[in-house]
Amino acid sequence: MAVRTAIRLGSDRLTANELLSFLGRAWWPLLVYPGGLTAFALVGLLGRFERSASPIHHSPDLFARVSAVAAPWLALALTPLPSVVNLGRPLDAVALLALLEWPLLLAVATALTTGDKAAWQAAGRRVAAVLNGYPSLLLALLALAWSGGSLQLTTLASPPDDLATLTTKGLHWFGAVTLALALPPVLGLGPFAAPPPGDLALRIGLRLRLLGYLALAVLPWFPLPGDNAWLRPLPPIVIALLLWLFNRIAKGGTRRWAVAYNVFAAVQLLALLGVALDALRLRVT
Amino acid sequence: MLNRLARSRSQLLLVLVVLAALGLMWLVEDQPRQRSVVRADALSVFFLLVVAAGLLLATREERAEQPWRRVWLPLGALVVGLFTTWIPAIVAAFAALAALLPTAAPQPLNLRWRWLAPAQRVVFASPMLVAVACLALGYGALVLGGTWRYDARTAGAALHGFVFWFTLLAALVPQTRLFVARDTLIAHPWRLAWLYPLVRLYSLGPWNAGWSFAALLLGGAAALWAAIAALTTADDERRSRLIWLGFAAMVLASFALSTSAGMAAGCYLMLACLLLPAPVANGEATVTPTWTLTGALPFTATFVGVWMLVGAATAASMVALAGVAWLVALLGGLTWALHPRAQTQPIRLRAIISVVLGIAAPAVVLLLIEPVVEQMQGGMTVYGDVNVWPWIGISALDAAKTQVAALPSVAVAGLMAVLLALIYLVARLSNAPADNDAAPGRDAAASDTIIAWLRDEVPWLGGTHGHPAGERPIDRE
Repeated sequence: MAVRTAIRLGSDRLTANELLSFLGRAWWPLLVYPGGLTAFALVGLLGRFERSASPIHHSPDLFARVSAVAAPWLALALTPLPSVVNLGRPLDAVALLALLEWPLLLAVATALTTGDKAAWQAAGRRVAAVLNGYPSLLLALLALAWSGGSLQLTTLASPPDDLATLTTKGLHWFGAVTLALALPPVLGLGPFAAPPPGDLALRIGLRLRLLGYLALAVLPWFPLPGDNAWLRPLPPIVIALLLWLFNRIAKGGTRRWAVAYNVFAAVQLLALLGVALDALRLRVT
Repeated sequence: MLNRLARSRSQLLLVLVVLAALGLMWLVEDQPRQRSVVRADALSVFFLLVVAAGLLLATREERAEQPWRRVWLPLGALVVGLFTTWIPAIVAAFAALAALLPTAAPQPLNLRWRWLAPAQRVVFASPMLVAVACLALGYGALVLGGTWRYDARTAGAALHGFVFWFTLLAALVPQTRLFVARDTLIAHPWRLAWLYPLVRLYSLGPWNAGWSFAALLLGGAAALWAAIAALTTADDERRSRLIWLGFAAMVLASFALSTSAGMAAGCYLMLACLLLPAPVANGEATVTPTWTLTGALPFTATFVGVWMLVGAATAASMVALAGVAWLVALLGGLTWALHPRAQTQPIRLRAIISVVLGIAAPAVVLLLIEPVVEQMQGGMTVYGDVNVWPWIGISALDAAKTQVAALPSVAVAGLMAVLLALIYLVARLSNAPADNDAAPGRDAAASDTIIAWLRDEVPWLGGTHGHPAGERPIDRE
């Protein structure tokens, strides 16, 4: 066999053993924490705060209902939260976001086939809200990825070491703060809210999506409490509380908030461009 | 009956061509085979494989009129172009390809002006002439520089800006609407074939950083524009053309990265492009899972293609391109969600292929794409590599061999299957409501109203074309 240099083989054992051991180690994250029991307890809790659902006119097909729950569940299970079994093959943010967005896409697609005006109005609101949130969300994640040099979740979660430059550290915390700020439109909170879909599976899927995004936003903050185990639950509680406050307090037309979030994204873009220009200047001189 | 026989014979022959291409790939995997000006390397074989597989998929769903003229003669010309190192022959082969391919059908003329018909034909054919002329100028400059064969020892010396820009133009023109007025499935593989002369320039030597940057800028901007326009257009045909343009632009951007990871992403995206839908309704309406063709969900070829581009761009520190590709994938998902039943073709087979290619991405990269990347190393930089874990997935590495993106596609698909089975079981045990047999059709008015409203509510989509004030149907509750 020729020596391969262009594309590297990560494992020279061409067997299924690695796959089987991966699947074998995954039962705890899938079924207990952070997916499974923990996730569904939180989903039940979230249901208490949710507005009344729209009536069911048409349920999506079986595959859509099953996958609407499975995709965000899997995303949550594979998020490297503290005390989670290390599976050795972590996901990156691109795949995680795709898994998390799946129930939203199904909710929109289903609403448009119901023939019910209220349902597709809700779908329209939902699409407009995420479109207003995506630029900020992606720019925040790119800032984190740029500072760590990788899109992998484990890298996004770990702060730069002491030897890192001030710009790298600044970029990391800028990304962490803006990631949390970008959540309201992406999750449809406050002025961006839309009535939840009628189908139970889609509702559960959307709540799991919310938990997944919350976990993603909390990731960079977990290392802050250090070894103090008692303080570990603090970051998720603080961010969840802030989001809940935004949901209750923020008022005003969607359009005004949309403009505000677009301006916010423009500021993020300018900040990233500034860092890029700075890096270029340093390289040239 | 005769028609069906002719069609199945065409398909059988195309299956043979695909198998022959796979066999050739196995032959040239380690090193190119060459005899005088006839040369088979992994890049040529990969392009042959893509075009033949695309034609096979297309002829299954769309009847090729005059298969000799539309399929076999152009394929013959392409084979000549792909497997020769003699540059004038490559130009001649692509000129023949342009002459033989289905161009726009001329509009019916007024009888009084019938004598103008030949001129009209030339006008309709002109985009092809533009592409051929650009290629002739670009490759002609190589010949004028003394390089008659691309594998000549001093070929790299003749590679300069003039050659690059005109070859880039020749690759771009066929991807636009100019190429064919009516978008058909059969046109798709031929459009991809036009990228060959551009990628072949890597055999001559590395690209100038400025050329790479310009091609990246062009590809990224076109992909973003096409994704936004596809989301906000109400016309099915225009949307599918825009989705195609977006993917073609991403293929260009991937190749322009000049890295192993970019090359692999470009090749994989070409395979994914073959699965994109075309708007020609040629069968009964089916409720097919078109989500497999959107780039919205992992485990599909379109998603893996975009993911590879994001990984390659991050590895090369092109964060802006990574962001654009990522946004394009998210917008693609929303485009599908807003037009859930827009496709009326029986595209089930392509959907299945998309899932198989997506999950088996490590094997596809290892068997079909790795030889191409390996043999094009002469033109590549070190800023990005692909790492394959055969039974787990793939990852992208940067110049320092740090993992910048990882997609354990096989492993995640395994976990997903476990979860799907578990939820299905729970749903069955808890007597969840039965399936609706007949889903009501898509409410086209709903999609259109939402799109008009989105332009109003999402400032960055461009609020200039929104609904007139007072006509905000979603706010009216």
